[in-house]
Amino acid sequence: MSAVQSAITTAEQQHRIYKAFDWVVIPIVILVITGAFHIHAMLTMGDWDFWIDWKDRRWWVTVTPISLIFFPAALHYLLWTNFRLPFGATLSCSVLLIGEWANRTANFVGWAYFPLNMVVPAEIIPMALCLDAILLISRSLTITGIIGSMVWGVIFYPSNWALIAPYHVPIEYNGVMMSVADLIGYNYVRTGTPEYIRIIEEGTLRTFGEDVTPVSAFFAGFISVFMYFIWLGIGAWFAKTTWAKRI
Amino acid sequence: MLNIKKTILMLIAFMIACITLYAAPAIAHGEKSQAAYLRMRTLLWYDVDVSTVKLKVNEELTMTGKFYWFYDWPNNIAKPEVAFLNIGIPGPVFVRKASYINGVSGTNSTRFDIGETYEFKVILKARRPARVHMHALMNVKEAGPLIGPGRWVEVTGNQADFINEVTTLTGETIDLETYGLANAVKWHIFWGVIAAAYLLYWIFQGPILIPRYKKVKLLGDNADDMISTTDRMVGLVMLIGTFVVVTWSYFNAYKEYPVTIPLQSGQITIPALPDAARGVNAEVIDAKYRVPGRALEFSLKVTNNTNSPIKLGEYTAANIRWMNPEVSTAEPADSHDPVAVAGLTYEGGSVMPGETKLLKVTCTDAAWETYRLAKLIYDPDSRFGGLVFFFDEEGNRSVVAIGGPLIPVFI
Ligand SMILES: [Cu+2]
Repeated sequence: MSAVQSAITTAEQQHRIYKAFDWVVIPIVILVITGAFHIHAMLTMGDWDFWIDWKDRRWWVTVTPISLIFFPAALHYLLWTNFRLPFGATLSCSVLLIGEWANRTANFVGWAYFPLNMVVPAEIIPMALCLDAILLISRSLTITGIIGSMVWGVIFYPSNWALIAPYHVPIEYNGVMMSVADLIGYNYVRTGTPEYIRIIEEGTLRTFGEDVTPVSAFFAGFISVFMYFIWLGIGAWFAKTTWAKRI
Repeated sequence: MLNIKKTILMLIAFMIACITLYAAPAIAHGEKSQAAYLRMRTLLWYDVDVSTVKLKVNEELTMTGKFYWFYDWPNNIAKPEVAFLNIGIPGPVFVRKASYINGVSGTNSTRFDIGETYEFKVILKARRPARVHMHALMNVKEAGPLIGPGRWVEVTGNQADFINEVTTLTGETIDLETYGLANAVKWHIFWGVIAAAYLLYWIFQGPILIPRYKKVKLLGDNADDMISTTDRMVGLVMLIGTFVVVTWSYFNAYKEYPVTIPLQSGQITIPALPDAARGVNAEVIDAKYRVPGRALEFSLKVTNNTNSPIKLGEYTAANIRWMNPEVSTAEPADSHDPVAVAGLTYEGGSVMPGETKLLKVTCTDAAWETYRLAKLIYDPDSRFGGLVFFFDEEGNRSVVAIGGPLIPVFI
């Protein structure tokens, strides 16, 4: 009798403890990912994501998916193999965007007074949703790495075009043709970021004429596939329980 | 064995150093911090002027002047193969409405020739109330910012009143302050809501960490069974939905903005101004810097190939001016404008047409110390440079670049 009663009590207690564990651990993990992913993003894609006049058809399109697949891949490994939770990409990209919006509004607009439309971050949720959905449907990290990462890289530019197209409308300005984005970059003086620092529209894809974007996007997807597996491995290395044992 | 702690600490230190270096130009203006030989022998600015120093939001200010790329360019500084005429201000207090180099629009980066002179004009529109020390500035690729003279400028009014309207080639008039923002925010909110819904779908399935971890370990190879058919349906709907929305938004944006161009990043070469020396040659024979007297003394061999007698009126270097008030006068524009109003004296008088003469010039001022030019003698390349201005009787000016080794005199 008493044994049965204590068992029920334990299950409730256990449930409460599990819930408390979630409440303590998830916010900490989210904060850590936000900070770490944000630093990673600033160091790798930095100016490409900061400024509207850096969001070009070659470099931005290539650099962003390749550098951003690191955290989703590592989290996929951690959350999938240990918990069968398929939201590593959506989680990391969402919290990265929260960090980026905080940075853009507080620093770029609040301290440096740049207009907010000049520093809106790239849209990275659709690619994350696809990566997670493919993991959820396939239940395989290998298929996610091959198909999901390809989709991740390819879909980046189309999902951003609705945001950046208005800034690619041409303007005649002081006798020169510029896009609205170029003009914003010229108008709003950045003492430390002169025009020539922009790494845009450079490359050897000239044989493709005007259709450089699809080539860049597929290239980004292709490299993302490799990066996904490299970071899956790094995630596996970090997730080893030997670390916990040592502590 | 690799010491992980040490490696991580070193990496962090390196990162902080990089970030500090990157942020450095924002903190110091560089008017005193850059090495003296660099300030004297790279870009020499003169005739710099601003149309006003006090203006309201939406009013315009024009900065004009000339710059000369010193002929004896320091070896360890990148040459101006790619450069951009800029303005040194803390954030966009102004928007740059136009900039011209020799009348050519300076929207693009430019290539310049060593030993040549160019004139510039920058039109700025006040955007935010502030009192700022504004500098003419040239960014040179791989060499960094070369700072010109600064002026204190005060903007009054209210930033909320500021508008920055332009008309596109498709005939639409837009305000660049807010253009496209609502649309971008709308998309970020839309995708943000979907991402949140997906995350909540999992988080609301109760405590997810420990129970699921235990279950994964328990099921082993069959752990994939934890994903239900409903879960997979959610995934499928999300995948197809994302494809549909992205495809629709992509083609819809093309419909709304049928005419778009890629980012523009051309580079131009601008022809230089005619030689400002106008037939006057000047050459430094020897030069000393007298530490106790804070004076630069040099002998100048001057040949006058013009038709009228000339006198030496000014020496300028590193944005500091030494004036000879008997020939040419100038006053400091504000508290931070280094002009030695009577800093230049010389022996030798007028140089007659056709004559070659040795002038003994002395440039004295505390600015040698306060602007840290005297440090030149401790620089890795202790040679000086600058511009000397000769005037004839009609007030015509000849600008000649001079330079050479500098020997310090300590006693
Ligand atoms: Cu200053």
